[in-house]
Amino acid sequence: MGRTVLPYSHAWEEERERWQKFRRALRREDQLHLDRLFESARLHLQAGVYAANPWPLESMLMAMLLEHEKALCLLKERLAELEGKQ
Amino acid sequence: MHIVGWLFDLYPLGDRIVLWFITPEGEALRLVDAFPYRVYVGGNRDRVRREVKILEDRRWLRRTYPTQGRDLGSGEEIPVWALELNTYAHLPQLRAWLGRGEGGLEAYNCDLDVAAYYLYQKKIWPCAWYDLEYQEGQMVSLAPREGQFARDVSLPPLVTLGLGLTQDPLIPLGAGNGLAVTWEGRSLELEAGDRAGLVREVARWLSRVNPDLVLSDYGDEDIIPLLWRWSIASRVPLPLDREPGSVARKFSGGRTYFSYGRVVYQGNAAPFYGRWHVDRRNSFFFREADLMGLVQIARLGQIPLQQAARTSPGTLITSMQLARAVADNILIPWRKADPERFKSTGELLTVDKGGLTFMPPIGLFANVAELDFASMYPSIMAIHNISPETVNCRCCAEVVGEGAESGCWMPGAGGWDKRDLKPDLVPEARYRLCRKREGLVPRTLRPILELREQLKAAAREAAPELAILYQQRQTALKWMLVTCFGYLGYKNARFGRIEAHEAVTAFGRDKLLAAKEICEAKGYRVLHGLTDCVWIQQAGMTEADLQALCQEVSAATGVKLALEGIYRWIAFLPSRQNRERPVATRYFGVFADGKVKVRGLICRRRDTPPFIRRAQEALLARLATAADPAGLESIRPELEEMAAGFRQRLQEGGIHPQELVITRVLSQPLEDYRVDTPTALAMRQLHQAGVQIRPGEKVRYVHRERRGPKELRVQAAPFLDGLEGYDTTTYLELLERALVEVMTGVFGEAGLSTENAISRLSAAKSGPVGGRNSPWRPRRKGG
Repeated sequence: MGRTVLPYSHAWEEERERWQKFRRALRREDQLHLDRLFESARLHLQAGVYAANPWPLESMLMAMLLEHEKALCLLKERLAELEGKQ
Repeated sequence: MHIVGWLFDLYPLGDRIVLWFITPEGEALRLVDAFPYRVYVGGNRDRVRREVKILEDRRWLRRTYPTQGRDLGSGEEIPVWALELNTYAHLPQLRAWLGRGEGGLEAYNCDLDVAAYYLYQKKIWPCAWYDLEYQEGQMVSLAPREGQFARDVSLPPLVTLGLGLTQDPLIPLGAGNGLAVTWEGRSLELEAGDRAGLVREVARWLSRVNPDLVLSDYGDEDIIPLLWRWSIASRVPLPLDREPGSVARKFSGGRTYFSYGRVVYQGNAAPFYGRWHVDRRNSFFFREADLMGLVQIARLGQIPLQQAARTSPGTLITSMQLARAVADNILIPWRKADPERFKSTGELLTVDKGGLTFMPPIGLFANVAELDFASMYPSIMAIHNISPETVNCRCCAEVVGEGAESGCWMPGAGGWDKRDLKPDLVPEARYRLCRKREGLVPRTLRPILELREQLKAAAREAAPELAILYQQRQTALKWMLVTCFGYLGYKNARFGRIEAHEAVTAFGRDKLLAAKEICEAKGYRVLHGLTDCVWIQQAGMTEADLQALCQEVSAATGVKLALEGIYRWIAFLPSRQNRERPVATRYFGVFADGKVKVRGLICRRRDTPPFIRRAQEALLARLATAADPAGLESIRPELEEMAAGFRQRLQEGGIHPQELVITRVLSQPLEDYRVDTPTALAMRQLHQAGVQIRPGEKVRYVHRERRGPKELRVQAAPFLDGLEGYDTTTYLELLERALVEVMTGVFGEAGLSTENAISRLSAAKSGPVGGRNSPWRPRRKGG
């Protein structure tokens, strides 16, 4: 029952490897942010699996954007809250 | 003569089948029945006739005649010739001849187990009651008194004799190891001066007790083959069997194979004739489901109990399918290889997925409900008619509807509308499913699913002593169902095709998502999902609400969804390597009824030493008494004390070596080990002591010294008596990992005790940065 197509989580690792050169030439503090970005793509692995996009990077980028969107929403709410209190 | 008998054992002998029955009074009765083994051959008519003539000259066959059989793929009847063998011993010769393919014939029913074939043909099953008519030892007629799938089964009185070794099984019998028998609750070590004496003792017990069942530990691998050999060498008779005819025994040694990433070792088989011999250590089903489980699978699998005991679940489900096929006069293909059809990249990407696995949020959650689909994959096979011959069948090619999506859920005016779910198209893959014939696999599965539900219901209602018997049988069925899916996808399995497997997973994903959508539409938050279960949460949810929800999902998907339970609290743990990363199968929690569910923790691993396992389980048991997160917080000091207690016990020393044994499965022979891992060192010790271990077998050892000469790093299991000390540091590290796993799961990073928290902070400052998190390490405590 072995799979023929590379499982999406392995595709994630391969993508991360592909971006190693990009990462290396970044400043240390920027590398940390990039790593977190890649990790955030793992939060929606099941969507990447189901979509089965021939270019896994597209699903990963979408997941990263999704997390950004969530963070922005949260921050906007907090900001509105704080501004409201003043 | 007429009598009522319970079909106990059967085996081929020469050209007939020997059957053993047990009467309601416990008497054993031996009968024989004629049964010619029938092979079928097909192909070009003249060719077949010519080849049959050649075969007749060989004198292997007693009779040949033309007849009809049903082809599995097309479902149509085709002309074939039946070849009846003279004796069963001629089968290998016929097979060899057919295998060479000189005749260019299609061969069917060539490789069925003889006893099983007899059962399939007669449509009977072992371990059930029959009305018998016999004359002078010959069976005349046989009629079942109960159904194969009867919910309640009864056994005749059976006499059991236990047989085991007195020492660790790695120590050879007769060279440091002895035998013990158990009868009527009492255990007795056998005294014997030499090998012949030991054989004589065992023979005495067998004659005296005349057991129906010999239940052994290591009987197949170690005890019986040796005793048999000694019996022949010393000419002391050993009445293992009740069969009066002479029985040839050959012990060929076990084999090692690789399956699903694991190395597995399968030992000898030593069945008896006219008596049952079950080796607990060599029987997966006995371990899982005890004697009642074996009875159940022998009955359903239509295989003699001793074979069923030693077989894997896959062989059983295959046997059921074969039985079904023979009953329906379907020709069973030989050496089938039905490879995959060609697919485009797009198609391959679409279908080659597995089940859906969500990543849960890390942390502690209160009041979470777990909903599980019951036997999801087998149910899908049954309700959607998925079988190797029904996926993209030729018979329905012209009847395909156009365009329609296979069904999806859309929010509509009145809630959820099920858009036309076309039952004969597979989601995503869009394979066609036969509408004219019911597939062999669904037909086989359906009664198993129904019986399992009946047994589960019966277990819930019955008194505890009876409930456990229902539970054991239900567990046996679970394993049969679980393997059915794997066999479906394997092109070399008798009844397998990958497209069928793909169809099942496609439906599975679709139904899981349907469940998720319905839950979310009703306001639930979906925390986690795993192929066939979901974890959901909603403030103020009641059990009644959840039951209604389950009904709705069951109706929408066609597969029953049941409430597994409501967790008072559940902790989802992150990856061991990276604390920020969620994983799908590491969690633990407590249901409302106090039952604990644990997945992925150290106490669940096979190699964990008993002491460590008990430490973790003790913490979990204490945690289970807390009703909510506040309750957890309040018992925290007590947990810290418990943890300190375990640490102290390790440091004080004096723990029994058996408590610290690590169990590893060998993955390769000793020569292939390039690094001196503890496992390799232990194996070397065993080698030097003359003990042979094969890959796939287990090695057990204790860590002795962390540094120093390699011979002293570990101590292998049989030689643990007199072991004075152990490697405290290593065991403390293991203990710490086990304790931290639980504490951080529940209390987060704050779960680390102050001392350990400090060392973590210092490690974090100086350790490597980036994606590779420095794994938290405890400060070494003496050792």
